Amino acid sequence: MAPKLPAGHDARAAWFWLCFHLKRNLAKKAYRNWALLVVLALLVLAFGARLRASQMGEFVVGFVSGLMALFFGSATMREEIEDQTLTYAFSRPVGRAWLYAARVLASGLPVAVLTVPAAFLVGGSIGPQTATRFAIAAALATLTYTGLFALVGQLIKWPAWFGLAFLLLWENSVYQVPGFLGRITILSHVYGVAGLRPDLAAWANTWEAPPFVVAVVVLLGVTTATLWLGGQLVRRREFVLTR
Amino acid sequence: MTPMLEARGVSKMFGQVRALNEIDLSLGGGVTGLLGPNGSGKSTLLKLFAGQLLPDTGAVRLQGRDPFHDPHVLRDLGLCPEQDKFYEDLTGVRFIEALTRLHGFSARDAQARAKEALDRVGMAEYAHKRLREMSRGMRQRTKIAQAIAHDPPVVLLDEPLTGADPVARADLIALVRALGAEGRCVVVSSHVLHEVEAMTHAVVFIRYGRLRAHGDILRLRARLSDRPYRIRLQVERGREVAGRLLHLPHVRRAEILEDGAIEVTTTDLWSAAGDIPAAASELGVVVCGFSSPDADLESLYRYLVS
Repeated sequence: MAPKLPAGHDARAAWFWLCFHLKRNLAKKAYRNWALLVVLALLVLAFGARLRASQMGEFVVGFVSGLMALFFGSATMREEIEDQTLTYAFSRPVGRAWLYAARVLASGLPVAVLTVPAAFLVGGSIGPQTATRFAIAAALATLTYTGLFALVGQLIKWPAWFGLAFLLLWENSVYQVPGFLGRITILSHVYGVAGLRPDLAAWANTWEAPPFVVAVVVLLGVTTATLWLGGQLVRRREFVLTR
Repeated sequence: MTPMLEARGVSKMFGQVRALNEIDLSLGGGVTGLLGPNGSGKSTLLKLFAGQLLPDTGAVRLQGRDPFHDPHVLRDLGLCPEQDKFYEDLTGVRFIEALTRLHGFSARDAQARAKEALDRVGMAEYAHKRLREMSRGMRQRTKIAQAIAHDPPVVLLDEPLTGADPVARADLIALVRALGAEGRCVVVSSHVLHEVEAMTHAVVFIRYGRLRAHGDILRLRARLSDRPYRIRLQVERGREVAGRLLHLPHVRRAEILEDGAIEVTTTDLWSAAGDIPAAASELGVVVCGFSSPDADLESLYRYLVS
């Protein structure tokens, strides 16, 4: 008969589930296509458009991370529901919130596998400290956006449209507003971690990125909060898989 | 003793549709067939037992615990869902191994259990075949294997024989019976009545979300006293035998059929099973055939559903 579950079983099972789905996600065709697209875009911007390293940094940590996190993060639960495979994991003796967190991280890590080295390389052309900050910013941006969009993916039916509007309209506009309003965007904190000061409109001349430590804490806080909220939703929700 | 599966006053609504209505049910070891027409609530009941759904009213218990809010109790459950869906990129053994790891088994143990389960469902030689390349029957057997790989005391099988060829069906029926004989609580939902009958005589009938009957097929049939049994006898000297049988208190009718057989209508199958051969013996007649088209699961199902 089935053995008693050992202490820490949920965490161990979630770790296994993360590794299992990470491996599957890395092997997916959609991911390979995205990787190719990102590399091509970076090559075109670097050698075709001849963007400065800081502009390339903005592109990687501020745009690619968010866009890819939207694509992969918002599909985290939706994919299992549409493929009707959710039952297999959710009929196992593991807390659903743990399985959810594992799935979200397994969706975000492949994005980080692309964005972190890209950010490091771009930052490396400025200096080692910048390279490190760019890499940390890319990792945190990916993690935060993935957590957020995975939560959004559970709450609304068309998360891609919401996510695009959020990234392009809210994030890229509001972060420039000096003061509190700008600080409630994720992007301002991502730039704070990266130490980037983007080219802004004249009215935004007084804009300042949040300090590094504050920005890191905020991004980790948002990630934790979205993962926790998403986990609570999954724990309490019934998933009716249609025939 | 705590029942392995229990539903107490369970109702479940989907929007305006009442899928289950005040279900009270307790199940212990052995195989139970879960029967009912399409949309009667069979799958909903299985999903409630598996902690996939939450009842609107009442309580569902698996080994005495709430499977929705206490997922750790699911270590005692093996679920073979209805849908033919998998992680298609995986091989059969890898699929089962991954799911078995979620029960706390090490990689080595999970792999051994996955291979053992595949062997038990007759899929050992296809263990390393990708799921997307498998036939429907092979996928079905793999799905059953993932439900039993972790050796659970409770096994829920939703339409387990779908897509299986006749040989595989016979093997799977034998497997289900063996699982029940091991003392597990096995619940099988199916539309194919003769297959359920081959697995078990314990059935649960659901219709319009209500529990219509629960128990042994013959005993349930015997309770339907307003529906007499027909018994078909193959005997010589049919007219003489029919006349004799009409004197029995539980025989309402005895009719000679075109092929010479007698169709007897009785209100008491158990008495008839003893009295008819005795009456024939008194007349010195040998009974060559004795069958009742009204004592099987199909007739019971027909009566309950109609």
